[in-house]
Amino acid sequence: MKYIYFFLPRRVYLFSAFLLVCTQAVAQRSTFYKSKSDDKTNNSTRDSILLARVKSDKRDSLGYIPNNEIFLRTNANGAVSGVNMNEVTKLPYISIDQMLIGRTTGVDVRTPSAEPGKRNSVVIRGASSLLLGNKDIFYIQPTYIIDGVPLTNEHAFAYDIQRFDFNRNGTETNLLGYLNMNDIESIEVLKDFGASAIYGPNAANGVIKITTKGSHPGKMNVSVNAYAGFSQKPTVDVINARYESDFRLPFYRMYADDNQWRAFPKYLADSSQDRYYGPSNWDELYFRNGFTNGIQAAVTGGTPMANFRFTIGQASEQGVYDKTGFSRYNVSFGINIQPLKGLVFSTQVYGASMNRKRNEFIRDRAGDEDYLFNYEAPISPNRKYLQQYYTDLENTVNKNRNNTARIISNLKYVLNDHWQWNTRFAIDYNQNFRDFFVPTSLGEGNAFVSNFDGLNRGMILDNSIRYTNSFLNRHNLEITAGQYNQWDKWRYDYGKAYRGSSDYVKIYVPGDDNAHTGRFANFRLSFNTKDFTESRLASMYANIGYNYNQKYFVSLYVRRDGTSYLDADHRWLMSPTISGAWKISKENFLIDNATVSNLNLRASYGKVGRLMMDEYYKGGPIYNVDAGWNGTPNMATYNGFPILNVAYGTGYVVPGTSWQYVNQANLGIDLALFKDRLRASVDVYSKVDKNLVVKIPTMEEEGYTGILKNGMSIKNYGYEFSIEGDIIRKNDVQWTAGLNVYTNQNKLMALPDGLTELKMNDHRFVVGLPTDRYWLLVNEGIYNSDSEVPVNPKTGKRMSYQGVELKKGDPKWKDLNGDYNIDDQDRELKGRLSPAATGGFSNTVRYKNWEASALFTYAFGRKIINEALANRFDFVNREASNDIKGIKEIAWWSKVEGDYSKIPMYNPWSPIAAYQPNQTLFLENGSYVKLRSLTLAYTLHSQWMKERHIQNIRIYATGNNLLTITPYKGGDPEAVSYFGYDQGYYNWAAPRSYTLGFNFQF
Amino acid sequence: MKNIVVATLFALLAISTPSCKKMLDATSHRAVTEVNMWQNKNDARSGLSACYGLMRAALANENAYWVHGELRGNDFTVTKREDLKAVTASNLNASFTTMDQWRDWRRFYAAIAQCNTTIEKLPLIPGRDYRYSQNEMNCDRSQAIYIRSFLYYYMVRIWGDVPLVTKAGDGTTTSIAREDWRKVLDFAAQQALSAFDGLPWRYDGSFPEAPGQYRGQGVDHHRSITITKGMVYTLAAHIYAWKGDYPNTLKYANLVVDAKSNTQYDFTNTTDVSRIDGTFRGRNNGNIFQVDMNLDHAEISTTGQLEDWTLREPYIPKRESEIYVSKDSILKIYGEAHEQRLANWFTKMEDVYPMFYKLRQLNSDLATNPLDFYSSAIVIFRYEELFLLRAEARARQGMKDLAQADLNAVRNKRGLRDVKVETDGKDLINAIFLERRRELIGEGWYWYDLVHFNKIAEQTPLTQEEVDKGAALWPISQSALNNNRALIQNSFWK
Repeated sequence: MKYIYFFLPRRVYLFSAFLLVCTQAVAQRSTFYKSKSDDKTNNSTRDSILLARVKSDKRDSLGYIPNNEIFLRTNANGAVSGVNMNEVTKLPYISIDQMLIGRTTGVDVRTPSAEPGKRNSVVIRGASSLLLGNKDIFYIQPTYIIDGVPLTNEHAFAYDIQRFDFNRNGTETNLLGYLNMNDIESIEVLKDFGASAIYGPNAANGVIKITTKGSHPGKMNVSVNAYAGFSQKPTVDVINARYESDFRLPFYRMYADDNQWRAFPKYLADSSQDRYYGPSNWDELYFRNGFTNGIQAAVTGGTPMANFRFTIGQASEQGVYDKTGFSRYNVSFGINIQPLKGLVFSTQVYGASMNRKRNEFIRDRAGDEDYLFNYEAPISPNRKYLQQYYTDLENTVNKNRNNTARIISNLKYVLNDHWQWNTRFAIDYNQNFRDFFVPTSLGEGNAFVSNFDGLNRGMILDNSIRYTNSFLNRHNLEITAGQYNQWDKWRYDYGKAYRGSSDYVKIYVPGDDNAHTGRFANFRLSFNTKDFTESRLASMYANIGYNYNQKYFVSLYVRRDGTSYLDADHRWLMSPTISGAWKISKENFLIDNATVSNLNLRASYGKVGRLMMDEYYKGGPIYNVDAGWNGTPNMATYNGFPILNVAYGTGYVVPGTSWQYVNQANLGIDLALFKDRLRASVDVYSKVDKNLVVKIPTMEEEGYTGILKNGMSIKNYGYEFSIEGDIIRKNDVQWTAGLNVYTNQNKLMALPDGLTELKMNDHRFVVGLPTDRYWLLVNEGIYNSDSEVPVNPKTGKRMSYQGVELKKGDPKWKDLNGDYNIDDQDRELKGRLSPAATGGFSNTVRYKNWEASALFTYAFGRKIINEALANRFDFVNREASNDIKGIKEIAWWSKVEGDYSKIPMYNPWSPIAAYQPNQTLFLENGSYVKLRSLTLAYTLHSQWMKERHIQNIRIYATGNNLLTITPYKGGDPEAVSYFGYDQGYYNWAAPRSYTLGFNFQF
Repeated sequence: MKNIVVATLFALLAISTPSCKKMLDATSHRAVTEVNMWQNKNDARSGLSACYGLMRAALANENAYWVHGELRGNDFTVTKREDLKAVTASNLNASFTTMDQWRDWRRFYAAIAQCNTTIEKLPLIPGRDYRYSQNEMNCDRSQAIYIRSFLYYYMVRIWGDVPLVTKAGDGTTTSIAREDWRKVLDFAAQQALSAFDGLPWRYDGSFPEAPGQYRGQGVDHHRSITITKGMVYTLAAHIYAWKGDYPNTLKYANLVVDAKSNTQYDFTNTTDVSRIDGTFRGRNNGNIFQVDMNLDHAEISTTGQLEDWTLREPYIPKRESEIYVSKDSILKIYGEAHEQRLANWFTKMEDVYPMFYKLRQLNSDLATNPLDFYSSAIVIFRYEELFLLRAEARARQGMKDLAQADLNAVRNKRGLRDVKVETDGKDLINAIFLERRRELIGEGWYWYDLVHFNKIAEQTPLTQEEVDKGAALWPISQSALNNNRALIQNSFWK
């Protein structure tokens, strides 16, 4: 074991010491409870990797304790995709969304950057709204139901005060990171409404249901998990000014006039300058091998009358880029008590604290400061000149802390065999703090400080009563009725100040009217913003479930939801869901069949309401403070007097705005053959979002940027398929292989007012066509001379781009409508942003105590715009001094990956933006196959262990992201923005990583 | 036992379940809905301030007031920015995001719509809030009327014929055609003059239209910013000048100048124009109407400020400014003897690129290690400009001596000698034009003057033929055309 400790930092030693004390105490007490020696640790590994739904048998030891489940259990008729926890707990994942890739179906995970702990996006069964900016990503995220209580995720509203659409103000930490993997009993993706309608409007984007391990009675049980490992330092092709000027000079020679030659960037002009022309070795400072480690311990035990579970854990990950990192501490405690017969009270408290060390992008800093500096002279690529810069960076403060606390209490009363009562109350509380300070040396002599204090709080109350009965041993009936309330609240306080008095005051203490110069800065250069929004949901529900002899299942769920987001006349929505299943294998004609061991047909159709993104849809014009202009979004006064204007920027809210809702149909078949040796499952789905509110353009002459109106409809449909087989199933040797596929097609069905298309920022949405396509000009080469430009025979004018005549060196773009003018009409909808098919291929081999498994994931039929490459060629427009486009990060000194040979030499000075990214020239195939993880585990069993009550010792090793096969010529095809643009060094590829870990149970 | 438990559970349920109605009737925190707006004096005042604020947003957005009003005149040279170069080349259909903004008039119409709404809603408030008197309402409403007229005058100069929207919209109208620009100007003038009665000459409490401290602030707070009678006459004079109605121009210009005891307007010294806290901080008697920015109110920004484009090292950390007036141009424009403006409004004449230094509100708080936060007001009308306008109106009507007197008043203030006594007719008009060019450089007038004095072909690469075809106007944005089928693009830009 020593070699493991070698990797572990000091705090792990302390932690281990603490555990030792703990376990000794427990070991003594454990004698009070007779242990039945049940070696069930390996049971779950027999479950299939792809299809297994890890069931919690443990809870049944005390009747049925719904400790971690809401009263209504997940319906058996639903489409559910689970993750094999036994497999993923070995992997060094910090957040569960990474575990879903390739292991579940129906899920599209987008990770624009491998920055540890950063928020990313998960989409279940296709996006149901138009994606134009980072704000919209928030609105398509599934709800994470953790132990029956939704996680109150971040709200996009902080973007409203931001000038740049990069990071949202605040920590930008992935809230799911708060959960320790080893505390998770099961993760299931609930896709159809047969499975998820019980969560009401929370289920509109799908549900990811996470159940943590609960307490259970029995002998004291201690388990310890620990792992350590490292991520491998990536490599890049570094360049210096020589490379860059060699790249640019041909363009200058070909196209530049005197003025343009004169504007040749100074940092590239002087080749005697060591600063830029010296060796390029910045990568030695920028990249590193990152260490990861985690340790977690859990103690469970108790009597049937009172039992508990206590866990404590720590995990940390160092990023390989830019000295980023993430760490988490978590603690949880849960108890079940039964004070009276039939009355069970369960409560669970989970607390976690996450810290994130963020990147040092100049761009992100500009976004955080909302201020642009002079970017004419980039950072040197040479180590020699970077010392000062890195010293300056050390003087910054960039603290990002998230605290999560969840308290769930559940009271259940079993009246008799037929009647049960359940009351549940829970609070989900997430705080996020950010302290940010930039010293004078990085701010052209001006220090900057900001402070963000955000809070998301969710509260639920659920009361329900259930009646169950069986008649004639065949008719099984279950009726549930209940009432549910949910209060969600988001708020933040944000303050920032420019021109700090010194580098020593690093906290935000603004001045005020009395003391103009505050501790940090003049109050006139301090800006404070607050925002607050809340959502309330009141629901009533009833469910009737019936099955005949466990063969025919049918369930009708009806729900009535009221939202505070709509006016009194429109706030209620009735939404029914019906689902059924037919276990064909239980029919007489199959029951004795040797081949078919399981055949189950499932179907569901239902409707679920979708909450709005914001709370002002109560009808009529609305007023807000929005009197800024481009680059200055916050201007709240005029001549010192407050402004309250008609919300022209937000749009006109049509009176009578009503609920948006989703209809979804699902048909599924589960099949198992040869004594469950071959297992397969197919789901076909069609999900239609209706009555969606969308901002449609309106006549500009009334001042509005648009009208907000119900009436958009988007359909997502496709199938999910998974198959798994035990190719070898012997006592000593087992080999299981599995494959899964998820497809999604998407189509815009309708727009309000019978509109047939919508154009918004670089996007076009046409009714009847998919919404996830790029909108591109079609390249057909280059005009090598002015005379090659076609002339319109009618007007005698040359072909133009938006009215500007094309010339030598301009791209030959296809004139689709033949009007001799290239404009938006000549853009084509091309290339899928989300993959046509995605999934995983897994293999697990077990030999005696050894187990090895490999998971490949893939995505096909997906396109990427290589924006990084486009930007490199567009160098002329990216040298402006105080323009966000002019920013050159330190990683700018690396060769942009891409296929240079196919890029024509356009005139980069041309006013028509020859190298704009939105043209087919930069559209590339982004399909890939990846060897995502490889694990090897060895389980120890020995008499020696038994004597010492050690149930299990397991040692494992893993490798991650070991291999990628892709036709994409840019960087990692997975590391692209949410919108399919590869932004080069802003999108960090997931590094190769290796871990070694062990797992103890005694 | 069982019954007790059940009873307790029901009791708990009864307590814990809130009334649905009460629970769901949460008021919106992020926006004010119609039922909660226009209820009291505060609503009235913040609605009126929004008229001002949106006017400022329209003018400041991407420096639109200056790009529309001056950049095409080519007195300024662009260093790097291709979008600005496209404007100087009158390549106004070029594809730049900023160009889309400059072509687009939505922000102007947002300000107009806010005025329309305010004009309609204000009369309702005195009945709802006793603190808001009819008199106060009149004053506030007149300001909104003035701003609307001003915006129409402004837009006509940029786009020519524009749709005339005079009522608050509800987002359901789908088309409205462009109105002949003369009719738009007639409406603007008539409306502006109708606002005259409701406004005071000054906000010092001595006029019955605004007794006491207006909005709790003294006269200095409002000077040049809050609308007054003097601004109404000045605007009317300008509207008539653009129409070519010189008798009326003269009439209203005279009314302003003759009311000096009320307006207290006066000339500004050359050094005071460009100094810190001078004309471009404003709130002084030299400025008739300014669209305000102010460091004291934190109404400062990094964008939408001309200084953002004109300043550079050593005043701000930028090696090269976006635009500059070339040495040749400066010497040509300010070639006359005893000229004070050259030395005061320009600096770094020894460098390859001189620096335009007239606007530089690098306030003392920002002076060392300045941030690029600027606070120069957009000065619309000032006293010198009004004199030059009156000079033109007089010259056009053959009042040579009076016109010369006005012109010389401005010239003398800048150190120049009187124009030659025999200067008359075309020469006099030309002298006035050149004086305007010298005096108002960088204030968003030069292009409109080129149009007005019909000198585009003479001073810029555009030909007279192109000007006759309508090249002087700006094209309408594609998004405006897409969403209002009744609009027709300006002929030159089709």
